[in-house]
Amino acid sequence: MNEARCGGPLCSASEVREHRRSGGVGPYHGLSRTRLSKRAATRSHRNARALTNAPAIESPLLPLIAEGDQEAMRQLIDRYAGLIWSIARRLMRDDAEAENVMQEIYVELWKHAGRFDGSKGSEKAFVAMIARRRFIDRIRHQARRPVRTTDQIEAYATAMPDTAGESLDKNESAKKAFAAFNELSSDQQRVLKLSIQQGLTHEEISRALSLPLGTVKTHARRGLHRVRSLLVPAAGVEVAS
Amino acid sequence: MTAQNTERDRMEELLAEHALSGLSAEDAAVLAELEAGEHDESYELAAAALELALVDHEQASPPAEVMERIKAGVLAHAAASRTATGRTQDAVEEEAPAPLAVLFRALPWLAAAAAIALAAVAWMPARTPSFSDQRVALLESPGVMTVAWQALEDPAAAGYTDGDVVWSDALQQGYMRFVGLEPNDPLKEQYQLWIFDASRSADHPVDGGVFNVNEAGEVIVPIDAKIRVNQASMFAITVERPGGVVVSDRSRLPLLAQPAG
Repeated sequence: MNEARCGGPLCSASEVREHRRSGGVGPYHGLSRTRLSKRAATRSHRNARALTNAPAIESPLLPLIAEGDQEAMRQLIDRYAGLIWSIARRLMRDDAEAENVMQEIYVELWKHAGRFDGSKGSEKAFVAMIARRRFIDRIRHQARRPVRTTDQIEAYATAMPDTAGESLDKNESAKKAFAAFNELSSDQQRVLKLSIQQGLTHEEISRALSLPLGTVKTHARRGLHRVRSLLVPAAGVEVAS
Repeated sequence: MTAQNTERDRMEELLAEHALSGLSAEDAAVLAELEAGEHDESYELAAAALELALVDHEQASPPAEVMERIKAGVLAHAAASRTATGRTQDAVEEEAPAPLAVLFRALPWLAAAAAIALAAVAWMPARTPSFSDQRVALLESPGVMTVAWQALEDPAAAGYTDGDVVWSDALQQGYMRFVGLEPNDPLKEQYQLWIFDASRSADHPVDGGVFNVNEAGEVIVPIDAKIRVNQASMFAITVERPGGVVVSDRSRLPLLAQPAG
């Protein structure tokens, strides 16, 4: 089965293209007998996967996009729309502005698809990184970060979602990040949660937790540094999903 | 703690803050100086991986109309920005050697290449005719109308100097020619052609396709009528959001072409 050999980010663009075609990710016409049998095999594999509730493995699309494949771009837009929209809704108030930035994110992914390096993280994490960067930049640039009252900020601190169980995303990068997160001190965890889940600034976290700003910055730095070192070890190699 | 350690801690603190909530202009300048031109993305990647691990993104989905607009805009940009080889910007930039390196490497081959090129001309298949050639060929067909554009009061037409539309009802084929129509940013807006058909209501002109003007000077664009045009009576160009619209509010109408009589 191609997926086993070619589902990861280390496949060549042509391998990925062949995998995508035989895996029937997009509409495909005029399939040969061989491809039809591969497609049937893929379908049964998917059924088996559904029964075992195993996480889906999706081939990266960015290597294809770097080659100018517009159909892959169309699929990428669909694949990550929910993720990007979810980040947008948490960080931005204005839906029209969120839509504009979302479009810019996809254009950036089209233009710089070649910069995706599967050895440093999954495609999903790469897309989330570009999205977070764009939204954060826009909020900073327009000084339109949602204004929160002290009561709201304190409420965030006392009502943080419980993440004690497992990573919410089955993506390899997310699972590694979650494992690293669980090794952090409780203060570091609280600072990172308030920042990532609620989008609070360091100043807001300082108020929410009644901690000096310098302490918050130290927790953020050490916590993220630890997650980073587990995600991208010294050799800089991580095989992503 | 040494000065070097202090500097590294400061850089890591700024990288973490940049990844989590962004930096002020002053802090961004300090970080740029500390990084000396080599930005470390690993903190942003770590924050993104935590984003996936700690936030449930499964339920979110943009409204269908938002998705349609985004898709149209992005794919229009992708189509407009493809390079001659069809590859995206980075793929080409990464592989393009420096011009001087190319010259030095190529010198021994130039003479041989010139000889091969001369030989190749003899058997090369005919090139695909350009839009300009196709327009000229269409002009020679019977029953073809040629109508000059009339510039209206719109910033896009401020520099317009010349142009026309060539259309054949019989062949359902046509070309627009413009000189000086303002280049558009496909991310923000696109031009859209509307063809008025005397056999239909003027309230429902035929969508003639969206297009971009990428450069100054003469531009020739083929017409892409979405349905049959029985008797073209007028052509109008509007400025619309990326991907075009189904019904235009005609708030921006830079050019109009109406056959005499």
